[in-house]
Formats: sequence, structure tokens, C-alpha cells
Amino acid sequence: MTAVRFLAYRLAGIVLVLLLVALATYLVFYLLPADPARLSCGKPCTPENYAAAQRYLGLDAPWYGQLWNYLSGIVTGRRFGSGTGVVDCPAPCFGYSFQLSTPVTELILTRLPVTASIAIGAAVLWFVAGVLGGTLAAVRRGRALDRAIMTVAIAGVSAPAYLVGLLAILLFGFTLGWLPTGGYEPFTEDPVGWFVHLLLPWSALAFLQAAIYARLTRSEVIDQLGQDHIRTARAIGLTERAVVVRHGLRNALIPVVTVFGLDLGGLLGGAVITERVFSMQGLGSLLISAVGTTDLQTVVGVTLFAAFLITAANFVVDVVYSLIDPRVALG
Amino acid sequence: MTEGAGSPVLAVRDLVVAFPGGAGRVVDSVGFDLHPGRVLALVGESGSGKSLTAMSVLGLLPPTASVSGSIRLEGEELLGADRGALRRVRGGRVGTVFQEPMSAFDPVYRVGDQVAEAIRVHRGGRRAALRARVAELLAAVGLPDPRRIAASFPHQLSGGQLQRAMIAMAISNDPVALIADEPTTALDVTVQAGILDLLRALAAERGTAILLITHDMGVVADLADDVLVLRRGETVERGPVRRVLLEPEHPYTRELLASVPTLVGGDVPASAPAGRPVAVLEQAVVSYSRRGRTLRALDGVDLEVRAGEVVGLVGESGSGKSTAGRALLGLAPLADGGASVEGVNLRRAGRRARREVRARIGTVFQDPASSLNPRTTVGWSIAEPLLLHTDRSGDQREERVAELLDAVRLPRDFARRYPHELSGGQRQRVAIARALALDPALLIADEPTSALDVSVQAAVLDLLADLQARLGFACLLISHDLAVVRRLADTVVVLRDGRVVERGPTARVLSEPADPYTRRLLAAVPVADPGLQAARREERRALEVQP
Repeated sequence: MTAVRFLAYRLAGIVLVLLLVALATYLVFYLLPADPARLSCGKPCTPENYAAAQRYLGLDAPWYGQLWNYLSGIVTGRRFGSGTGVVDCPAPCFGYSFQLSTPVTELILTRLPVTASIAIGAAVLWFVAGVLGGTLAAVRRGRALDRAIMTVAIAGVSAPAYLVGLLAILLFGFTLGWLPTGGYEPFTEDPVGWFVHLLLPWSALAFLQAAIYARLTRSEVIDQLGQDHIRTARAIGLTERAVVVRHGLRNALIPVVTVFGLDLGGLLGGAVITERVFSMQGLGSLLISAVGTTDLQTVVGVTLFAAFLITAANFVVDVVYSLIDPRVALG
Repeated sequence: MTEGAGSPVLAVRDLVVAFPGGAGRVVDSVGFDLHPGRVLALVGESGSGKSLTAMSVLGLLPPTASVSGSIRLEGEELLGADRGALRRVRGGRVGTVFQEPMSAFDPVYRVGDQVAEAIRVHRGGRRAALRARVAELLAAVGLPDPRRIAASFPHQLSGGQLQRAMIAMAISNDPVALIADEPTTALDVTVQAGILDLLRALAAERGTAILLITHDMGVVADLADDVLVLRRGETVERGPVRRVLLEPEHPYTRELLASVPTLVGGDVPASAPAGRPVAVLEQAVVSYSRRGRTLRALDGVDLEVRAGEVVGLVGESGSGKSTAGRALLGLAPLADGGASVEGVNLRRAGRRARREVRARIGTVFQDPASSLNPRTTVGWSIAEPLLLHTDRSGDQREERVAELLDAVRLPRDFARRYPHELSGGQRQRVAIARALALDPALLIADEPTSALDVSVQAAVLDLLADLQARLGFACLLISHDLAVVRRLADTVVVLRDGRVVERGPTARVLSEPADPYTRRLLAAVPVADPGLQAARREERRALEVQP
């Protein structure tokens, strides 16, 4: 019963957050001096043409009317213009990009695989590397291995992703010529090409994150190894490896997994810097170019999608949290 | 030392444990024999090296420790044994029970799985067979419904249930010896009595040799056959329990025994002339709601603390005794009933009035290590209430801090020290000084001595009694320890499940308890006299049989 209530409560919360995000995004763009109608009204821009452009773009309504049209379009779909210039945006319509002449839903769906490939691959890499490195450092605390791992981690935390990415392109792409310098191959068409093209973006992105995760894991494992139940585990005759993995790491992972879910959710909404550096057409670069061209509906659509991923990740993390920590119950 | 039949299970000779750096030898030439079916108690205060001695048997000292001497388990030398051999000893031939059952289990695994793990490490076994064996063990340590206990996570069980499960885990591989490191210190007295009974039965029925580590002379009297008294790593005295407890030879042992607060003999404070009521609870109800259920921490409690009077509020964990103190501080909002301090009704008072009332209340908590800010000097901690509630100048505050340090009998230059530079007893004196900084009308002392060694505890209690007599504040003494309350309180109020079960003058309640619960509570407190304790044990069992 409490689990059902929890679910309903959280779903309502997600919808509310998304509405607020849509509202905030609309308001920000409404306050901007840019005027899409003026841009698309042509030359000479007569008042009649301008009014027509406004009507066509759906900008003739006040901002709350536009927001309402946008939101209701998600459920019912939308139609812009009339006669020969009619443009259809079938439900779920997250807006229509007049710059790219494509429904935003379609844009998101074509760009998502790129971003998801980057994000998920990098996430696996950084999680494994970070947790492994952090655990080893914790077990060898104060010794050479710990210092070595933590030194690399400091470098990782301090180095900006674009710098690491560019240096990696320079070294592996240009100097050694081992890996492509950018671009994307769909997995379905060329799995090997997909993998080869993603290796550098994965590594560049994972380097920074793995460093953060190594530091987090290290401190959590050290904290756990000081707990009373670790002494019990040793006193029943477990091997040190079993003590560290089954009792130390298992408990240390609870907060790490929580952060991981949120990071991955956030990244799926667009790995902006990585996509730019490696010239990949993902959600992040879509969003950036949409902002550049004041493509309001695309910006709102992508932002909403990213916000949805983050709130959904948050929700998933809460559920997972109750599964991996028996002390936490849903509700 | 009394010799049991045959050769010892565990023979320790000339054990020396040292750490690098100034500490020197923390265990110095300790030796003893542990015989089958017998209980040897290692007794001492904190820093005596009693736990280090036990941990060195298992090879579980921190890696920086250097150990020498000889530890033989059934003739086999353990010092310098390889890791594999030590692992086979741990949990195999030597089982261990630790102090805090709540934290000694891994929170993320079911209790049954943890017991099963202990068996699997040494004997392997299939899942179904292990499960059956776990249920059998849990039943053997007196846990009803072993399958439910096995399927529970640690946080779903009580301290007593967990400690029984821990004992089940410790005996799962039929060890020849059991190390019990303060096995009952974290438990309520009535629960403690049951655990001690269980350990006694293990020694008697299974012939397990038990190495008991404790600071509690009552526990020693109840369970041990032989005693080894340690101080700063050195053996002070050893012998059969009756001899050591009743005719101690060494002055330190005598001092240790003298400082144990007792339930018999000694002075009970004569009821002081009661002044005006300072703190009052009237039919107070405090409730928490958790997952749809409402729990009443206080369920209609009447309490009155008058000026110049010490009221002892006694109860076991979950009785609501600390909640009563929090209600008077305005920290636990009342769902019903009334609370007033110095005539101010806490339920109706606004924020400002409540703040002013709080300035009239001093509080001392259990653990001075965590109730003092580690990053500020002691002087700052004591002066903070003055800064918050008075407009004294810096010089005046410094003067007051010096006065207060005098009052709690600490040197004035302690004002410049930090909490970690002080011992537990000194820290608690600082906490008392801070509580008295504003000349409180009411002092709430919540388990003020529970974290302290007995000899320190006695001095802190004396100090509190002396300050109370001199300054005349009303004092609410909250404690699980009847002996502590007996030493200080004029009136005793016994709480159980949020209700008052008995109240009256201390002498009367503790000598002729009217309520059956009070009687059971009193009977469960072990006294430091083996003969007397054996008789009390029988009395307690008789009470338990009664409905």
C-alpha cells in the first residue's frame, strides 16, 4: 500500500517538476530580445507578413497561451499554418523546429542513440574504473598504490573534459592515427565502426568521472572498513578479500550507486562538451545549436526531455536504493 | 588461578603488545590459562588492554601493533601463525561476541545469511542444510521463531535478539573457546541477565571455555569463575572470583570495587526539603508517526521536579525517559497534556519565551566526546551559553569560565585546551560546567555517566551531588542505571513504554518496590558479590516465572 502511494506521489512530483521546467524555459525565452517571427518574416518585413509569421509560428498568443498550446500539443499533436504551408506535428508533439523543418520528437529520437551510446558506454567505463581504483586505493591506504591512484584521480578531477578530449584526438587521432578523430557510426550499420568511433569520447568523458568515483569510493570503503561489522567479518574467519568485497564494498556502493544513477540520467540528456569536441550529433549539440538559433520549441523540447531523464533517474535511484539498502523502505 | 581438569584450551604467556610512538607497552607480560567449561574474566577500565589482549588471540590487532610472547590454542602456537591458520581459528575454534550487537552485524544482509556465512567459511555446505543448521542454532540460543529471525535484517531486531544471534554465530562451528568482549554493555539490564544466563549455559553444557572481557564487576560476579584484573596493560590481581571480589588484595582492585555504584549498603540521599516546582509535565503525550503507525514515546506522564530536588527518571531503552527530558526542553512537541518550566507553559509559549526558558535549563548528555565541539576550545564551549544569553564582556566571560572550571574541579588553564586533549571524565566535567554557566534553575542530566569508567563515574556523580547541594538547582537525572540514580536522586520515577509504573522516595522504591516491573528491573542488576549474585539470580528467575 505504501509502495503504491509512494509511486503515485513520485509520479505526480515528476509531472510537476516537468511543468515547472517548461514554464521556466518559456519564461527565459520570452524575456530574451530575440524574435523568431522577425527572423522568419522575410524581406521586406511588412506588418502583414510579420503578423502572418507570428500566427504561423504560434507566436501570436501571449506566452502562457503559447505554453498551453505547447503542452496540449504533447497530448493531441499540433498543426502549424494552413493551406499549402501546413506542417503537421503528430502527438506526442514536443514542438516543431522551423529551422530544421522537423518535429522535435523526431529530432530527439534520431539524436538520442548518439548521446545514449556515449553516455552509457562512458558510464560503464568510469563506474568500473572508479570503483576498482577507489577500492584498491582504500585497501592499500597510505601506500604507493593508493598514492598513484589518487594522483591520477587528482589529474582527472582537475583536467577539463574538452582539454582531455582534444589532447586524446591529437595523440590517437592525428599523431598515431589509430582512432578516428570524430563522428559517429550507428551500431546497427557498423558495430565495429560504432565502437572505434566511441572509444575516444568514452575515455575522455570517463577519465574525469572515474576520478570522481575513485575518490568517492575510496572514502566510502575506508569508512566502511572501520565499522564494527567488518571486525565481525574478520572474526568469523573470512578472507580479507571477502571482507573487503562482501562487507566493505557492498556497503560502500550504496551512496556510489545513488550518485551514479543521477550522473547517468543527467548525461543522457546531452553530453554537450564531449559531443562538440568529437563532432557528434547528439542531444547536447542539438540543444546548443537550437539555443544559438533561438529555436524555442527545440530548446524547450530537449530541455524537457533532459529534465524528464533526470527526474526519472532520481526516481529509479530511489527505488534501487530501497533494494540495495534494506534499512530504506519506499514511502 | 583455579585449575580446571586437564590441560588449558588457551594458554597465554608473557603477552606484550606495543604500538610505535610514545604509547609504549599497552599490554605488558599478561598471561593466563583458559579451561574448558570455565569463564575467565579480564577486568579493567578503558586503556587497561583487556580488549587488545583478546584481539591478539585472534590475530586481529591493527597491523602497526607488535606482539610478542606466546598464545597457544590446544597446544598450537598462534603468534606468528600464517594467515590461513589464523583464519581457521577465527570463527572456527574460537568464536567471538562483540559489544554492540546493533553495529556488529552487516546492515545489508539478513541475519540468517550472516550466520550461514560463518558456517560456510569453515565447513561449506549446501543452502538448505545451512538454513536448517542456522534455525537450529538460533533456537539453541533461545530465540523464538528462528526462521523469522533468520529472515530479518539487523535493523528489524532488538539489541537482545541480535546479541543472541551473534552468540549463535559465534558457536556455529562448535568452538572450544569463546571470546565475549563486553557482551552485555550495550544492553538493558533485564536483557543482559538473559544473555549472561545463556553464556553460563554454554560453558556448563557445551564445555566451552569463555574469555569474558568486561568493566562491570556485577557481570563478573554473575558469570566468571576466575578473574584477572588489568590496569594499563599490567596484571594487577588474579584469582578465583570469590576471592578477588570479596577479599581483594591489591589497592586498585579495592578502589575499583569501591567505586561501583551499588544497590545495597552506602548512603541513600535523604529526601531534600522540596521547594517550588521548577519543571512540570502533566499528562504529557509525545507521539511519533512512522509509516502510518503512531507510537507514543510518552503516554500520559506526570512529572514534577522541585527546586533543590533530584528526581531520578529510570527506564530501559524505549521507555521514553529521554523524550521526557526533550519535552521539558521544548525539543519534543507535546501531542497532548502540558509541560512547563519555571511557570512558563511550553505549549503556549512563543519562540522568544521558549528561548528564554531554555536559558534557565542546563543539560548534560551521555557522551561528552560528541557533545562538545571538537574544533573549539573548552573555554569557548563553556562560554558559549554566556555569549548567547547574556551581554557579559569578554573579560567577564573569561572570569565566569574560570569560576566554573573551579566548580567542576578542573585546572583553570584547561580553558585553552581542546576536547581531544581531555579524558572522558574531564570532558564530562566540562559539559557540566557548560550546563551550569547560566545558573540554571533546572539541570537535565541524561545518562551523564554511562560512557565513563566506574572510578571516573563515581567522581562525576559526587561532583554532581555536591554542586546540586551547593547551588540548589532542580535536577532531572535520566538513567538506565538504578545504582546511579540511587546515589543521587531524592525521588525515583520508573518509566516503562512511555508510562509511569512507579514513583516515590528513592530509598522506598529501591528497597520495597511495589510494581512488578520495578522489582524485575532491580532483580536484574548484577551485584559485585558472587554469592549474593547467585541468590539474586534465583530471585530474578522466580520473578520471571510469575505472570
